[in-house]
Amino acid sequence: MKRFILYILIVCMPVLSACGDVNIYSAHSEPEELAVIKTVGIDYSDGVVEVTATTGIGADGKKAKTYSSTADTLAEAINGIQNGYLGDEAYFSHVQQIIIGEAALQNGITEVLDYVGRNVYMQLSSDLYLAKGGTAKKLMEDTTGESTAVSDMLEAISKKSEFMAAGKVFTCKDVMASLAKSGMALIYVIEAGEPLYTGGDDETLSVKPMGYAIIKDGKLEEYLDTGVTEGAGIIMGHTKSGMLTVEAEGHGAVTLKISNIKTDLEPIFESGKLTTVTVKVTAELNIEESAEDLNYLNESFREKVERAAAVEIEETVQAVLLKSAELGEDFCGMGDKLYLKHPYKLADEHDNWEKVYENLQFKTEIRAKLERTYDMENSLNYTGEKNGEG
Amino acid sequence: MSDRNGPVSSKSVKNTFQNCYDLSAREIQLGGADGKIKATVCYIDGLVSGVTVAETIIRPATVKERFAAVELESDAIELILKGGIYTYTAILRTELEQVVDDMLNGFCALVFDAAGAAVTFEVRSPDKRSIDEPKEEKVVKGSKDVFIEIMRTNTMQVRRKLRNPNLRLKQITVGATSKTSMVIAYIDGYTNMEYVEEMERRLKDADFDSVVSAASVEEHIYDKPRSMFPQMLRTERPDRFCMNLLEGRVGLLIDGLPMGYLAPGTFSQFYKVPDDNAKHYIVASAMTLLRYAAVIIALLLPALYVAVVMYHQEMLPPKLLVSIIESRKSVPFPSALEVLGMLIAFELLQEAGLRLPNTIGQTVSIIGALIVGQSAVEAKVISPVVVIVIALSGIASYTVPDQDMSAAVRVHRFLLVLAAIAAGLYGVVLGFAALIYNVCSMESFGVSYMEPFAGSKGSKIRELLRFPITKTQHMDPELRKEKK
Repeated sequence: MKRFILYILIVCMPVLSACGDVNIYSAHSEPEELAVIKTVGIDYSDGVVEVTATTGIGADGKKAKTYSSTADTLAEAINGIQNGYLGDEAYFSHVQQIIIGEAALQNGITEVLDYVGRNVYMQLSSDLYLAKGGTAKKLMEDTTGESTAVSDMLEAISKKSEFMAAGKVFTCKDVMASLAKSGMALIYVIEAGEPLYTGGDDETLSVKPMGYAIIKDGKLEEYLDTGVTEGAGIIMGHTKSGMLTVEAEGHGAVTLKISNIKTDLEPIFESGKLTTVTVKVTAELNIEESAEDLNYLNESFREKVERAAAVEIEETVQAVLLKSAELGEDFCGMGDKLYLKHPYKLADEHDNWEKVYENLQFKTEIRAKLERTYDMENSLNYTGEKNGEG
Repeated sequence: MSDRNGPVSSKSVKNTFQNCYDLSAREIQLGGADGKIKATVCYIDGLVSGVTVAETIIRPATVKERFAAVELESDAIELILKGGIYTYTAILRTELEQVVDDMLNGFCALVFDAAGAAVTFEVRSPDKRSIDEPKEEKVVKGSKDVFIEIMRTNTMQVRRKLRNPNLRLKQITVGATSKTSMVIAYIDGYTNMEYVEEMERRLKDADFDSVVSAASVEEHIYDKPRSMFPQMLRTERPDRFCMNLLEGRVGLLIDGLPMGYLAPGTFSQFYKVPDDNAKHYIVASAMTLLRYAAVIIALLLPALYVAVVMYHQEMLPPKLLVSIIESRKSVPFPSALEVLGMLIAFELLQEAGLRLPNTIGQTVSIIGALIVGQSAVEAKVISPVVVIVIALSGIASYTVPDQDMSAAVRVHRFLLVLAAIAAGLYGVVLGFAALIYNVCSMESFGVSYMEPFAGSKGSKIRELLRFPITKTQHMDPELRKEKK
């Protein structure tokens, strides 16, 4: 009998827990009634928020659907999309990218991030982008065509974020955490690029990565171009691979594939005070292409390639350090990295990092090591001349 | 109904079996034509061998030299009991009920009217099904014999595998109408006698009328007869039966049922197959874990699909959600109806396949699964994702080795789908919690049903896997240990 009563109580739980006034079944929705929004664009203009939402290309290749709504607040604008269109219900649980128009940053990014954090559908794991020099809506319209959607292109950029040139795409969560920690954050910057297809009627434009934007106290501070982005990726430890073409002295251009890249920050103390930070970078390289010399076992050639690669990487890193010094901002988060490594030694410095950073000296130690040459000719015991017979 | 408590006579035997065309009653004179004593040979044709009756009873009984000089029935009976007739058993019966029971158990009765007694001889008919290959519990490496409907043959098979005098086979007759013989099997010194006594008590206390089906036994002696989950291990294989006896379980063999029962039956036992002991222990352990994964898939996959698709679409990866949306675009039915319909169709197909002869059953499966299924998807009546979900769940349910357990899982799958339709994941969790509560509160002969998951303090969790036989004992010390 006790068990029976327990069963009854369990079954009645929804009613007893005040869910009784809600018919749970009526809350369901069939999946085919949903339009899964993948990208949301947010623009501010004269105190009005304009939200643009787009789906990806359908599984059957159908064109992406784009919805738009304006309101006084972000929540109202999104609600307008959810309720203002007939047919499919715009579904915001799978938003993968949020694009903010440049003008929107004048109002500050905090409001947007706060909304994303509160909304039950939107996710903080969505990638955050800044549309440089225009509105998010314009960029989304320009880059969404019959067979391509902006979300697909941004997804591709995000996947390649570990590749040297692209740089890491930061999520809303990353930006929120960085702003909370240091009052500063990086946002991936994009703009509409060249037409995606040539020789056809489709005038869809590609999405072009434009480096990072530094956000300070929630507002746009400075743009960093793609050259600096590469170095920032190396210092922050996000970049794991990439492609590099160097001029090896007397051997012409050699294209190298960076198979692994490790970065370490080494603090140097003088009289107990942090004075210098050494940025140590070790890159493992493979030869991808060499136009002039195919004799990879030549020690001199290898040394020259390694040296040229080290110089190239050093220049990239130096560019970031120079920019950082110029702005007086530690946008690569070196302070946090050093503190995590030496929490006791750097406790005082971490608390006054902005002041310490202004007077900090930087040194670089770059080591490039050629791991694989893919020397097919020698491995096959090829003994003839380069183009001869053997 | 005739009175079975009357005096023993050929007339009373005939009265008892009136209108039974298979009763054979032949009057003979002991010592041949010149003999002075009349007796009636009574037997049930079919249950006993007529040839054996003629050779071993009638022929020696009519030898002139042996019985001609006997004048009194009591002397004749004494002579028969001393070996005057060549059968290996000769039992004196003075009560009609005993005579009738013997006859129904394959004995022939030589009835002496004046003495009011009969001598019964065991002359069972050898007509029986041959020992076939296993149909339900097939193995690649292992013996190929199975239990049959004749209990004596089954006990013989057990004895052959366990040539140990401590193997006890305790006979008990139950069923007011059917008078079915059962044998409680156990190994003295291995089995906790409490289980043996409990088995005997349950069989004696049960109000059996007849035992002609498995359910009539199960429902009388299960701890929780209302539960759909099997509570005693059932096997058609003598080797598995013996292995479990060696582990300390008590067995039950029933005349007329080609299977043996083993108690206590715990949840984990139903996920072991005889092949486990024939395979390498790592392979066997991996397969066992796979079967546990399969029961979770069989039980929960359709319910989770319904819950996620109807209420929690945010849980699906974007590409999968888009794929489901596209596949459901032209389907006219709501997801709930679609899944329920497919589950019912799946059960119909299975039932049709079981009831029909093998060859036709296969044809039905092909028509049902391939032709109707494919046509339904092409006609956009159902979505391919639902077909995949139901098929995956169905296949997973087939990996459950015990058919009763599989059936219980399938019924609960329906209930969980209904819970999912009503309240999404909340309903599934609620339903699953109720199910777990139910099975965890069950016991089989005093042992927790969910052992080793519950009730054993985790000490027997290694029983889930198979460890090298050289490092483990056959016997389960927990089962053997005398309870305080």
